[in-house]
Amino acid sequence: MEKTKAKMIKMLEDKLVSGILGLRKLHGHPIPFLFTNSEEIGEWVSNEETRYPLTKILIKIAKRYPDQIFGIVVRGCEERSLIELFKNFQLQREKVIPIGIPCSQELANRCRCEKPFPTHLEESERIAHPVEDFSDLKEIETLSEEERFHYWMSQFGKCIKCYGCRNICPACFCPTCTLEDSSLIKPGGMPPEIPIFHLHKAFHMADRCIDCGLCEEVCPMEIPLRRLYRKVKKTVRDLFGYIPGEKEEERGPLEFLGDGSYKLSESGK
Amino acid sequence: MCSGRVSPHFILKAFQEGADGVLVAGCHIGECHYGKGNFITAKRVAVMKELIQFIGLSPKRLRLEWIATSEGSKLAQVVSEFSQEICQLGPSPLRLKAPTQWILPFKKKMDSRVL
Amino acid sequence: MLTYKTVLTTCTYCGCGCGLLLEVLDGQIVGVLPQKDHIINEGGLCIKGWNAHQFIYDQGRLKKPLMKKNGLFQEVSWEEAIEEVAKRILKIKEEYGPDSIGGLTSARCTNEENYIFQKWVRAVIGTNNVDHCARL
Repeated sequence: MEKTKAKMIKMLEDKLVSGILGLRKLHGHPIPFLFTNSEEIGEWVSNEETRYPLTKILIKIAKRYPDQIFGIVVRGCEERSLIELFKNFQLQREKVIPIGIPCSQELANRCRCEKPFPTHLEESERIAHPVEDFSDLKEIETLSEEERFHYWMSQFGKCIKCYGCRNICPACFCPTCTLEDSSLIKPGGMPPEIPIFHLHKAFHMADRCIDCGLCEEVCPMEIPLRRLYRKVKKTVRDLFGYIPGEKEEERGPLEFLGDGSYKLSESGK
Repeated sequence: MCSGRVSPHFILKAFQEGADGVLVAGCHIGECHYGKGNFITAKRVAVMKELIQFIGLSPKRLRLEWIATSEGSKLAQVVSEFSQEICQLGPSPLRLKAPTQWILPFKKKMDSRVL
Repeated sequence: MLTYKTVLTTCTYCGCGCGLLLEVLDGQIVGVLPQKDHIINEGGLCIKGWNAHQFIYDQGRLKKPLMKKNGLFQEVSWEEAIEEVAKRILKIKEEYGPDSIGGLTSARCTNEENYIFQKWVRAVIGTNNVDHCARL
């Protein structure tokens, strides 16, 4: 990672950015930190086991300092999340400079990532191959309807309503959340109203989910959330040909009314 | 009012409250009084059908029809057809158990962590 | 000065002791993240943990001792408050006996503070009625 470190030191010394957001090793743990000094870059690490939602942290910092330019260290999924946040006006394109780092093949296999590297990289060796693997969805689709319902309800029944999946998701930025609306979901009660508690979120981020997998890692009850969100992502891809985080000019299909490009069946069935 | 106002969250709430079927009816494509409202309804219902099928609810429980204001007989026909279909499908599986009954006892919970 | 850092700490709410990161932006605490490589919680938090930072800047926090005078709470000094409390406890102890007084301490205090408290209740007041909020 020497070239990446050198680039970061140069960016700070030339005052191109006011700070670079990355992970710093403190007492043996990598935790998020904003590097403002080129001497601090010596403590920078790019740990693969611990992934934090750095783009979500950047929204908070950029809100307080809207005129300053920030650098951020991104993997493939975080770059997709940056593009989605630019499209939804949460961050400004001119005020963010991404610094790309690649993921290893192990991590790409574990995440089943279809693009485990960002567009601009400093290090050009050890780029992982994309992994296309929908076997986790096929496992569910081979079950009968009753078995599927039983499986999902018993998984959702574990939910303790900690809101961890929403708090850590880089695609969730609404100031008033649907999940906290008392007319849509009855407050109180354990478990919450299932299955719609998880279906509300799945639909709300249908064209924004970048498939980073942080939601499943943060769930204390180990509910297989990623399977649900990947199914929605696959549906949006098959029906509309849209992949979130790919191109910045393309808008999500569920955001605008219609340009006639989606082929409708006769009666709308 | 436009069928584009029907939020997908309303459809989900209807199923949670115990509805066995949900019928969404809007104006024909190209005849929307607001221009393109029914396009977004079509997109939303298409995604919603896949989602509920994945969860284990039959996609036949959610239906989208284009019915103009003057087509009274078509509305009657569609509603009676839909009711018959739902009668054949039976009650919604969400009505069989209350949410609290899906909390498995501790031992079964540990076993169900592995699929 | 623009500074952003995260601080490693432990959640104060229950006995589990999950690892937390407090987000500090310009000297103010703005949020909470779970610590991914902590052996106990492994990156998950419950709803109390996710909101562990909200009580810090709350408007309802007490900053000074308050005493009711003429039906309204008024700010007083620590000496006045302690003297009043000591006077009244002694009066109740003389009138009704030491067992009419009980002490309740908190899981948020240190071990040393809890030790002093129970010693005070047992030796100074002279009663066994002492307990702890975690037992409720």
